[in-house]
Amino acid sequence: MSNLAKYLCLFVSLIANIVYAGSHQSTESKFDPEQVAQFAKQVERYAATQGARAFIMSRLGQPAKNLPDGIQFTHTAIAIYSNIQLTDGQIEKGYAIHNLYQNNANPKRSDLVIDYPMDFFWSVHELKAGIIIPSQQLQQRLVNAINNGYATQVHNSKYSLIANPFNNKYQNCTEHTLNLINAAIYQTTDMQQLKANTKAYFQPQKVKTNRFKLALGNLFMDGVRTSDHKGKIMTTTFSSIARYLEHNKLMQQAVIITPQLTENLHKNT
Amino acid sequence: MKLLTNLITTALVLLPLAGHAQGPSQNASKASEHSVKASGYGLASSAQVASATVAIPIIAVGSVGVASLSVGNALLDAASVTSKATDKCEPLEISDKVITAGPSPQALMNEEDI
Repeated sequence: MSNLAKYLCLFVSLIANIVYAGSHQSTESKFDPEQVAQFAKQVERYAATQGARAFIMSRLGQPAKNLPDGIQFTHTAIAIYSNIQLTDGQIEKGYAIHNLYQNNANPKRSDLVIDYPMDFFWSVHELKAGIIIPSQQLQQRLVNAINNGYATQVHNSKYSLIANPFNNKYQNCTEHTLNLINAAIYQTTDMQQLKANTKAYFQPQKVKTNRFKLALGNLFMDGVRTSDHKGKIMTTTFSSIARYLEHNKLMQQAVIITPQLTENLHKNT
Repeated sequence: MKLLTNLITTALVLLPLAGHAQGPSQNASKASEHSVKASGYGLASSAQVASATVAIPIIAVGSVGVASLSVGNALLDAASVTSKATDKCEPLEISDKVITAGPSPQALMNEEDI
Protein backbone atom coordinates (compact mmCIF):
# COMPACT_ATOMS: atom_id res chain seq x y z
CA MET A 1 0.00 0.00 0.00
CA SER A 2 1.39 3.40 -0.91
CA ASN A 3 2.22 5.90 1.82
CA LEU A 4 -0.64 8.17 0.74
CA ALA A 5 -3.11 5.31 1.04
CA LYS A 6 -1.77 4.46 4.51
CA TYR A 7 -2.11 8.08 5.64
CA LEU A 8 -5.63 8.27 4.31
CA CYS A 9 -6.61 5.07 6.11
CA LEU A 10 -5.19 6.45 9.36
CA PHE A 11 -7.06 9.73 8.86
CA VAL A 12 -10.34 7.99 8.11
CA SER A 13 -10.01 5.76 11.16
CA LEU A 14 -9.32 8.77 13.39
CA ILE A 15 -12.30 10.66 12.00
CA ALA A 16 -14.53 7.61 12.32
CA ASN A 17 -13.67 7.37 16.01
CA ILE A 18 -14.56 11.01 16.48
CA VAL A 19 -17.89 10.62 14.72
CA TYR A 20 -18.65 7.43 16.67
CA ALA A 21 -17.83 9.10 19.98
CA GLY A 22 -20.04 12.02 19.07
CA SER A 23 -23.10 9.95 18.22
CA HIS A 24 -22.70 7.03 20.63
CA GLN A 25 -25.31 6.93 23.39
CA SER A 26 -23.82 6.03 26.73
CA THR A 27 -25.73 3.41 28.68
CA GLU A 28 -23.56 3.58 31.75
CA SER A 29 -23.17 6.05 34.55
CA LYS A 30 -19.77 6.93 35.93
CA PHE A 31 -21.45 7.26 39.34
CA ASP A 32 -23.09 4.71 41.61
CA PRO A 33 -26.88 4.66 41.15
CA GLU A 34 -27.18 5.70 44.80
CA GLN A 35 -25.11 8.83 44.12
CA VAL A 36 -27.20 9.78 41.11
CA ALA A 37 -30.46 9.09 42.97
CA GLN A 38 -29.37 11.16 45.97
CA PHE A 39 -28.24 14.04 43.81
CA ALA A 40 -31.40 13.95 41.70
CA LYS A 41 -33.52 14.10 44.88
CA GLN A 42 -31.34 16.87 46.28
CA VAL A 43 -32.06 18.96 43.20
CA GLU A 44 -35.76 18.15 43.26
CA ARG A 45 -36.09 18.95 46.94
CA TYR A 46 -34.20 22.21 46.57
CA ALA A 47 -36.60 23.38 43.88
CA ALA A 48 -39.54 22.15 45.94
CA THR A 49 -38.44 24.06 49.05
CA GLN A 50 -38.39 27.17 46.89
CA GLY A 51 -41.96 26.44 45.83
CA ALA A 52 -40.94 26.18 42.17
CA ARG A 53 -43.81 25.09 39.94
CA ALA A 54 -41.59 25.34 36.87
CA PHE A 55 -37.90 25.90 36.47
CA ILE A 56 -35.10 25.63 33.94
CA MET A 57 -32.51 22.95 34.62
CA SER A 58 -29.15 22.15 33.01
CA ARG A 59 -26.62 19.36 33.29
CA LEU A 60 -22.98 18.74 32.34
CA GLY A 61 -22.39 15.77 30.04
CA GLN A 62 -18.74 16.49 29.25
CA PRO A 63 -15.72 17.77 31.17
CA ALA A 64 -16.15 21.50 31.66
CA LYS A 65 -12.65 22.15 30.36
CA ASN A 66 -13.71 20.86 26.95
CA LEU A 67 -16.50 23.40 26.56
CA PRO A 68 -16.01 26.76 24.80
CA ASP A 69 -15.69 29.82 27.03
CA GLY A 70 -19.01 31.05 28.34
CA ILE A 71 -20.71 27.65 28.11
CA GLN A 72 -21.19 25.87 31.43
CA PHE A 73 -23.60 23.06 30.58
CA THR A 74 -24.35 20.70 27.72
CA HIS A 75 -28.12 20.16 28.04
CA THR A 76 -31.03 22.30 29.24
CA ALA A 77 -34.71 21.54 29.77
CA ILE A 78 -37.77 22.70 31.69
CA ALA A 79 -38.92 20.93 34.85
CA ILE A 80 -42.61 21.07 35.77
CA TYR A 81 -44.07 20.14 39.15
CA SER A 82 -46.45 17.30 38.34
CA ASN A 83 -48.67 14.50 39.49
CA ILE A 84 -46.79 11.47 38.19
CA GLN A 85 -48.73 8.28 37.60
CA LEU A 86 -46.65 5.14 38.05
CA THR A 87 -47.08 1.79 36.29
CA ASP A 88 -48.82 0.41 39.41
CA GLY A 89 -51.37 3.21 39.26
CA GLN A 90 -50.05 5.13 42.24
CA ILE A 91 -49.67 8.88 41.89
CA GLU A 92 -46.59 10.59 43.26
CA LYS A 93 -45.58 14.22 43.25
CA GLY A 94 -42.35 15.34 41.66
CA TYR A 95 -40.83 17.10 38.70
CA ALA A 96 -41.28 15.92 35.14
CA ILE A 97 -38.60 17.21 32.81
CA HIS A 98 -39.54 18.30 29.30
CA ASN A 99 -36.54 17.79 27.04
CA LEU A 100 -35.47 18.15 23.45
CA TYR A 101 -33.11 15.23 22.85
CA GLN A 102 -30.98 14.49 19.81
CA ASN A 103 -32.31 11.40 18.03
CA ASN A 104 -29.97 8.46 18.64
CA ALA A 105 -30.62 6.89 15.24
CA ASN A 106 -30.49 10.19 13.34
CA PRO A 107 -28.33 12.85 15.03
CA LYS A 108 -29.58 15.50 12.62
CA ARG A 109 -33.04 15.21 14.17
CA SER A 110 -34.43 15.68 17.65
CA ASP A 111 -37.38 14.44 19.68
CA LEU A 112 -39.33 15.78 22.64
CA VAL A 113 -39.01 13.44 25.59
CA ILE A 114 -40.34 13.65 29.13
CA ASP A 115 -38.14 12.10 31.76
CA TYR A 116 -37.36 12.50 35.46
CA PRO A 117 -34.39 13.76 37.48
CA MET A 118 -32.86 10.30 37.88
CA ASP A 119 -32.86 9.86 34.09
CA PHE A 120 -31.74 13.43 33.50
CA PHE A 121 -28.59 13.08 35.61
CA TRP A 122 -27.85 9.41 34.86
CA SER A 123 -24.93 9.80 32.45
CA VAL A 124 -23.56 13.15 33.49
CA HIS A 125 -19.85 13.78 33.66
CA GLU A 126 -20.22 15.69 36.91
CA LEU A 127 -22.98 15.81 39.53
CA LYS A 128 -23.72 19.46 38.95
CA ALA A 129 -26.98 21.16 38.08
CA GLY A 130 -27.77 24.66 36.91
CA ILE A 131 -31.19 25.84 38.09
CA ILE A 132 -33.08 28.98 37.06
CA ILE A 133 -36.29 29.61 39.00
CA PRO A 134 -38.42 32.13 37.12
CA SER A 135 -40.79 34.61 38.72
CA GLN A 136 -44.04 33.11 40.02
CA GLN A 137 -46.02 34.63 37.18
CA LEU A 138 -43.69 33.18 34.54
CA GLN A 139 -43.70 29.83 36.31
CA GLN A 140 -47.47 29.71 36.03
CA ARG A 141 -47.35 30.67 32.37
CA LEU A 142 -44.80 27.92 31.72
CA VAL A 143 -47.07 25.38 33.37
CA ASN A 144 -49.95 26.58 31.22
CA ALA A 145 -47.76 26.53 28.11
CA ILE A 146 -46.79 22.90 28.74
CA ASN A 147 -50.43 22.00 29.42
CA ASN A 148 -51.52 23.65 26.19
CA GLY A 149 -49.01 21.73 24.10
CA TYR A 150 -46.73 24.66 23.35
CA ALA A 151 -43.64 22.43 23.60
CA THR A 152 -44.67 20.58 20.44
CA GLN A 153 -45.79 23.72 18.67
CA VAL A 154 -42.44 25.49 19.09
CA HIS A 155 -40.37 22.41 18.30
CA ASN A 156 -38.27 22.16 15.14
CA SER A 157 -36.82 18.67 14.78
CA LYS A 158 -33.93 19.73 12.56
CA TYR A 159 -31.13 19.59 15.09
CA SER A 160 -27.93 21.59 15.36
CA LEU A 161 -25.66 21.58 18.38
CA ILE A 162 -25.03 25.31 18.02
CA ALA A 163 -28.37 26.46 16.61
CA ASN A 164 -28.89 30.18 16.04
CA PRO A 165 -31.83 31.34 18.23
CA PHE A 166 -32.59 34.23 15.87
CA ASN A 167 -34.02 31.95 13.18
CA ASN A 168 -35.86 28.66 13.01
CA LYS A 169 -33.59 26.85 10.57
CA TYR A 170 -32.28 24.46 13.20
CA GLN A 171 -32.90 24.00 16.89
CA ASN A 172 -31.11 22.67 19.95
CA CYS A 173 -32.32 22.01 23.48
CA THR A 174 -31.56 25.48 24.81
CA GLU A 175 -33.24 27.24 21.88
CA HIS A 176 -36.32 25.08 22.39
CA THR A 177 -36.28 26.03 26.08
CA LEU A 178 -36.03 29.69 25.10
CA ASN A 179 -38.86 29.29 22.59
CA LEU A 180 -41.05 27.83 25.32
CA ILE A 181 -40.16 30.63 27.71
CA ASN A 182 -41.00 33.24 25.09
CA ALA A 183 -44.17 31.41 24.07
CA ALA A 184 -45.19 31.54 27.73
CA ILE A 185 -44.28 35.22 28.07
CA TYR A 186 -45.92 36.39 24.85
CA GLN A 187 -48.77 33.86 24.94
CA THR A 188 -48.17 32.82 21.35
CA THR A 189 -46.58 29.99 19.38
CA ASP A 190 -46.31 32.05 16.20
CA MET A 191 -42.67 31.37 15.31
CA GLN A 192 -42.18 34.58 13.31
CA GLN A 193 -43.36 36.62 16.27
CA LEU A 194 -41.24 34.62 18.69
CA LYS A 195 -38.11 35.08 16.59
CA ALA A 196 -38.79 38.79 16.16
CA ASN A 197 -39.06 39.17 19.93
CA THR A 198 -35.94 37.04 20.45
CA LYS A 199 -33.94 39.26 18.11
CA ALA A 200 -35.19 42.36 19.86
CA TYR A 201 -34.64 41.35 23.46
CA PHE A 202 -32.40 38.29 23.80
CA GLN A 203 -28.60 38.32 23.77
CA PRO A 204 -27.23 34.89 22.83
CA GLN A 205 -23.83 33.56 23.83
CA LYS A 206 -20.97 33.90 21.40
CA VAL A 207 -19.36 30.51 20.85
CA LYS A 208 -15.67 31.14 21.29
CA THR A 209 -14.14 28.47 19.17
CA ASN A 210 -12.29 28.31 15.92
CA ARG A 211 -14.60 28.62 12.91
CA PHE A 212 -12.38 26.27 10.94
CA LYS A 213 -12.87 23.67 13.65
CA LEU A 214 -16.61 24.18 13.49
CA ALA A 215 -16.61 23.90 9.73
CA LEU A 216 -14.77 20.59 9.96
CA GLY A 217 -17.22 19.47 12.61
CA ASN A 218 -19.96 20.41 10.18
CA LEU A 219 -18.42 18.10 7.60
CA PHE A 220 -17.73 15.13 9.81
CA MET A 221 -20.23 15.20 12.66
CA ASP A 222 -23.96 14.94 12.28
CA GLY A 223 -25.74 17.57 14.32
CA VAL A 224 -23.03 20.25 14.03
CA ARG A 225 -24.20 22.83 11.51
CA THR A 226 -23.21 26.42 10.84
CA SER A 227 -25.35 27.40 7.84
CA ASP A 228 -27.91 29.14 10.07
CA HIS A 229 -25.30 31.67 11.21
CA LYS A 230 -24.08 34.81 9.49
CA GLY A 231 -20.84 36.08 10.95
CA LYS A 232 -20.13 35.16 14.56
CA ILE A 233 -21.52 31.91 15.92
CA MET A 234 -24.05 32.74 18.65
CA THR A 235 -26.23 30.26 20.47
CA THR A 236 -28.53 29.94 23.48
CA THR A 237 -27.05 28.83 26.78
CA PHE A 238 -28.06 28.41 30.42
CA SER A 239 -26.25 31.63 31.32
CA SER A 240 -27.75 33.64 28.46
CA ILE A 241 -31.24 32.53 29.50
CA ALA A 242 -30.48 33.51 33.11
CA ARG A 243 -29.28 36.96 32.00
CA TYR A 244 -32.36 37.39 29.80
CA LEU A 245 -34.76 36.60 32.61
CA GLU A 246 -32.86 38.64 35.18
CA HIS A 247 -32.70 41.67 32.88
CA ASN A 248 -36.45 41.47 32.36
CA LYS A 249 -37.11 40.95 36.09
CA LEU A 250 -38.56 37.50 35.42
CA MET A 251 -36.16 35.50 37.58
CA GLN A 252 -36.28 34.67 41.27
CA GLN A 253 -32.92 32.97 41.42
CA ALA A 254 -30.24 31.08 39.54
CA VAL A 255 -28.15 28.52 41.41
CA ILE A 256 -25.53 25.87 40.81
CA ILE A 257 -26.11 22.71 42.83
CA THR A 258 -23.49 20.08 43.58
CA PRO A 259 -23.63 17.36 46.23
CA GLN A 260 -21.52 19.59 48.46
CA LEU A 261 -23.25 22.95 48.11
CA THR A 262 -25.79 25.19 46.51
CA GLU A 263 -24.21 28.31 45.02
CA ASN A 264 -26.41 31.31 44.34
CA LEU A 265 -25.61 33.03 41.08
CA HIS A 266 -28.40 35.58 41.22
CA LYS A 267 -31.12 35.87 43.79
CA ASN A 268 -33.83 38.47 43.85
CA THR A 269 -35.15 38.65 47.40
CA MET B 1 5.53 13.41 6.23
CA LYS B 2 4.05 16.89 6.04
CA LEU B 3 0.79 15.39 4.75
CA LEU B 4 0.72 12.92 7.65
CA THR B 5 1.35 15.75 10.13
CA ASN B 6 -1.46 17.83 8.62
CA LEU B 7 -3.90 14.93 8.69
CA ILE B 8 -3.16 14.05 12.31
CA THR B 9 -3.38 17.72 13.32
CA THR B 10 -6.79 18.04 11.66
CA ALA B 11 -8.07 14.93 13.41
CA LEU B 12 -6.80 16.15 16.79
CA VAL B 13 -8.51 19.51 16.25
CA LEU B 14 -11.82 17.68 15.93
CA LEU B 15 -11.45 15.60 19.10
CA PRO B 16 -12.90 18.19 21.56
CA LEU B 17 -16.02 18.47 19.43
CA ALA B 18 -16.87 14.83 20.03
CA GLY B 19 -19.23 13.86 22.80
CA HIS B 20 -17.74 12.14 25.81
CA ALA B 21 -19.67 10.13 28.33
CA GLN B 22 -22.86 11.85 27.24
CA GLY B 23 -23.57 13.89 24.15
CA PRO B 24 -25.10 17.34 24.50
CA SER B 25 -28.73 16.34 24.36
CA GLN B 26 -28.80 12.59 24.71
CA ASN B 27 -31.59 10.64 26.29
CA ALA B 28 -30.47 8.36 29.10
CA SER B 29 -33.88 7.49 30.56
CA LYS B 30 -33.98 3.90 29.31
CA ALA B 31 -30.44 3.31 30.49
CA SER B 32 -31.08 4.63 33.97
CA GLU B 33 -34.13 2.45 34.63
CA HIS B 34 -32.54 -0.77 33.44
CA SER B 35 -29.27 -0.15 35.18
CA VAL B 36 -30.82 0.80 38.50
CA LYS B 37 -33.15 -2.22 38.48
CA ALA B 38 -30.54 -4.68 37.28
CA SER B 39 -27.75 -3.51 39.51
CA GLY B 40 -29.34 -4.72 42.74
CA TYR B 41 -27.61 -1.73 44.24
CA GLY B 42 -28.59 -1.09 47.80
CA LEU B 43 -30.54 2.11 47.38
CA ALA B 44 -31.84 3.50 50.67
CA SER B 45 -34.88 1.49 51.83
CA SER B 46 -37.23 4.43 51.33
CA ALA B 47 -36.03 5.04 47.78
CA GLN B 48 -37.91 2.58 45.62
CA VAL B 49 -37.45 2.72 41.87
CA ALA B 50 -40.64 3.20 39.93
CA SER B 51 -41.53 3.74 36.29
CA ALA B 52 -43.79 6.57 35.29
CA THR B 53 -46.52 6.38 32.68
CA VAL B 54 -47.72 9.97 32.56
CA ALA B 55 -47.02 13.25 34.29
CA ILE B 56 -49.62 15.98 34.58
CA PRO B 57 -48.58 19.48 35.62
CA ILE B 58 -50.10 20.67 38.86
CA ILE B 59 -51.94 23.92 38.51
CA ALA B 60 -51.78 26.44 41.32
CA VAL B 61 -55.08 27.99 42.40
CA GLY B 62 -54.94 31.59 43.43
CA SER B 63 -52.05 32.50 41.17
CA VAL B 64 -52.20 34.10 37.75
CA GLY B 65 -53.92 32.33 34.88
CA VAL B 66 -55.42 29.03 35.98
CA ALA B 67 -55.83 26.84 32.91
CA SER B 68 -58.45 24.17 32.41
CA LEU B 69 -57.22 20.66 31.92
CA SER B 70 -58.74 17.89 29.90
CA VAL B 71 -57.43 14.95 31.90
CA GLY B 72 -58.86 12.51 34.39
CA ASN B 73 -59.83 13.98 37.73
CA ALA B 74 -57.48 11.64 39.58
CA LEU B 75 -54.52 13.51 38.23
CA LEU B 76 -55.86 16.98 38.80
CA ASP B 77 -54.56 18.67 41.86
CA ALA B 78 -55.13 22.38 42.30
CA ALA B 79 -53.49 23.53 45.50
CA SER B 80 -53.08 26.98 46.89
CA VAL B 81 -49.41 27.75 47.00
CA THR B 82 -48.99 31.34 47.98
CA SER B 83 -49.17 32.57 51.53
CA LYS B 84 -51.04 35.85 51.47
CA ALA B 85 -49.28 37.07 54.57
CA THR B 86 -45.81 36.86 53.07
CA ASP B 87 -46.51 36.34 49.36
CA LYS B 88 -43.88 33.61 49.59
CA CYS B 89 -44.28 30.21 48.00
CA GLU B 90 -44.82 27.30 50.33
CA PRO B 91 -42.50 24.28 49.96
CA LEU B 92 -43.86 21.58 47.68
CA GLU B 93 -44.20 17.87 48.40
CA ILE B 94 -41.75 15.55 46.63
CA SER B 95 -42.05 11.77 46.52
CA ASP B 96 -39.28 9.72 48.13
CA LYS B 97 -39.48 7.27 45.24
CA VAL B 98 -36.86 7.28 42.49
CA ILE B 99 -38.99 7.75 39.39
CA THR B 100 -37.73 6.94 35.92
CA ALA B 101 -39.35 7.16 32.52
CA GLY B 102 -41.04 4.00 31.27
CA PRO B 103 -40.35 2.50 27.84
CA SER B 104 -41.37 4.37 24.73
CA PRO B 105 -44.72 3.36 23.16
CA GLN B 106 -42.87 1.66 20.34
CA ALA B 107 -40.61 -0.26 22.72
CA LEU B 108 -43.56 -1.22 24.90
CA MET B 109 -45.62 -2.50 21.95
CA ASN B 110 -42.67 -4.45 20.62
CA GLU B 111 -42.13 -6.07 24.04
CA GLU B 112 -45.80 -7.01 24.24
CA ASP B 113 -45.67 -8.55 20.78
CA ILE B 114 -42.91 -10.99 21.80
